[in-house]
Amino acid sequence: MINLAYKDIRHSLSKFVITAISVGVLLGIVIIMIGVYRGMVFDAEVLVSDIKADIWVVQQDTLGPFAQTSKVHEDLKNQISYQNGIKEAVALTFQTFQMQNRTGDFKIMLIGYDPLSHINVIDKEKLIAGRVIQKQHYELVVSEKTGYRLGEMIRLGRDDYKVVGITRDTVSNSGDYLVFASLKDAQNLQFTYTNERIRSDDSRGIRGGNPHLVNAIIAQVKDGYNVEQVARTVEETTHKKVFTKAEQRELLLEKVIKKSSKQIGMFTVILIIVSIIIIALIIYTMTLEKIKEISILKLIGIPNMTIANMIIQETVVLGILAFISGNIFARLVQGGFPKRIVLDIGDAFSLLVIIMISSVFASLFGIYKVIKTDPAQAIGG
Amino acid sequence: MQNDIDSNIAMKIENLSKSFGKGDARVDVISGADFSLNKGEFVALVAPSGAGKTTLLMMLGCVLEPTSGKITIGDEVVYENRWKVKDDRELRRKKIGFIFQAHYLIPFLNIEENITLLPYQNKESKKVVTSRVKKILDYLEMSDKIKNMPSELSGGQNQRIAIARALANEPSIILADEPTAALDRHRAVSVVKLLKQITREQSVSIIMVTHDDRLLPYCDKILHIKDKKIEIELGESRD
Repeated sequence: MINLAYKDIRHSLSKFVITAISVGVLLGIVIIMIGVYRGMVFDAEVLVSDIKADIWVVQQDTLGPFAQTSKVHEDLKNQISYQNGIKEAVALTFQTFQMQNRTGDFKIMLIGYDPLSHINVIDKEKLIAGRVIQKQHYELVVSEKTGYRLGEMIRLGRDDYKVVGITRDTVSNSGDYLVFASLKDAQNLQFTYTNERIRSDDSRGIRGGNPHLVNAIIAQVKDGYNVEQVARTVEETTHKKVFTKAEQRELLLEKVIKKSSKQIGMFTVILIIVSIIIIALIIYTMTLEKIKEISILKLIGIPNMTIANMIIQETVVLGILAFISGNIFARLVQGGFPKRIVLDIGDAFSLLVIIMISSVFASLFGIYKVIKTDPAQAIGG
Repeated sequence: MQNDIDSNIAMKIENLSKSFGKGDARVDVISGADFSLNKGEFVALVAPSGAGKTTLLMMLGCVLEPTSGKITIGDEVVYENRWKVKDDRELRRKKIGFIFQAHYLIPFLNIEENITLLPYQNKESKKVVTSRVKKILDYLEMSDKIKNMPSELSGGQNQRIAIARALANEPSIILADEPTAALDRHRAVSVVKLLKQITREQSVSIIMVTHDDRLLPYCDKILHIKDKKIEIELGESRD
């Protein structure tokens, strides 16, 4: 038995491959869009996962520090430390900065923490060079994507800081690179005003900034204690808002990136629909191009099923080739995006299943055309 | 369905009619046509444009359903006021060969694949098909082109391959729709001579639609469509 699909594809191989690659680029964009979403989810969880805290204490009636501004006094950590079930409490600051390196401007999130605490704020597995902060002043640990090198001096505010460590894959929930500083330095950068600002505030009767504010207190719960119960107790006694790690993660996913996810999801669905329509049109056009041959095949006695099989097989091959080229395209351009793109193999195979089912469905237009083609078209020239 | 017709008859049509439309818009194209085609006979079908040649050819090829009448192929009644066969394509695949104005070979199949497509579809064995195709191509002196694509052959060579394709399923009848229309005079005569030779040596009956009076002397019978009926004229070459 002669495989008509194979023969037809082989006969117009370059045209078929170029068509498949073109559809593949479109599918590649779909894969990238899914990757953008996955990247957002990944980034949203990085910080909360990396910081080894069980509970997050933030300003009352806020969703801080990632979804809303939160300010609490630094000494709140002492009050929390004495709570039953608390192992250790540490103050943290979060501040976004616009920085500059050799290649241009970029945004960072500066995290201030106490280098003497036992709670790991920097995931040591992500520290690829140097060390964590050991001094109370003028040391920074930066993400490798900032482009700064170990030992490099960076000007921040009024002071110069030395890069003592480099991390990999450390970003904020909005994808900004993370830079770590000591709590004292971070407080100075966030809450200490310039002389001009202090004079200006004085003239208006405004008291100077309080350098002992922080954005959140994180704490670890002792073994054997129920994290949820401890969180609720801390909430009642401190009159602050307390999130467990799971709640903080959910908050980031639900509140912070939900709209963006929906936006990307809609865009992805539209792209998939457009891809299916394009595949359907291509198959239909490919069928129309062969309509004379199809009428001859029908006239000489080839069954509809044999011709329909040819179209379905060509559609499936087109879909698979497009899928492969789409994945190659996505992997080639993945590194060029400024934010994280996570290409998940499961997503890719889900897309393959969708594309295969849709492609076969799309080929029905071509098959309908085959069934409707009058074999008598071959007679009479 | 078995029939008690003469065993030398390849095809017989009786009181065959075809009309299009209904009521006032009804147009009768063929009305009460009768003729029989003997095995190994080479017959020309001649009529002015619009007289119903293609309609008749399509009915004989079981592509177009007649309005009424009877068609018998070999000893099988295939139509008697309704189709008597379940699968018209299977009937065409096994009993009828087609040759068109142009060669209409499938461009993405090579010569061998074009010729073997139908026999393989009929589930014939590779050994049998290969041997038959070799014989046909030897007969048509085209054996050296077996792996070529149609685009690599001349018009005349492709028409020979189209004839080979029509012969490949060992049909009892070949319907040829102006097979020389795209060829020059010299090649046209050559193809007609070949068709005549095939009818004699392969025991295949051929009905050939033609407008070219110069080809008629090679035919055993000439069918004319006049007043929607078929008139038979004996050809000069009748044995």
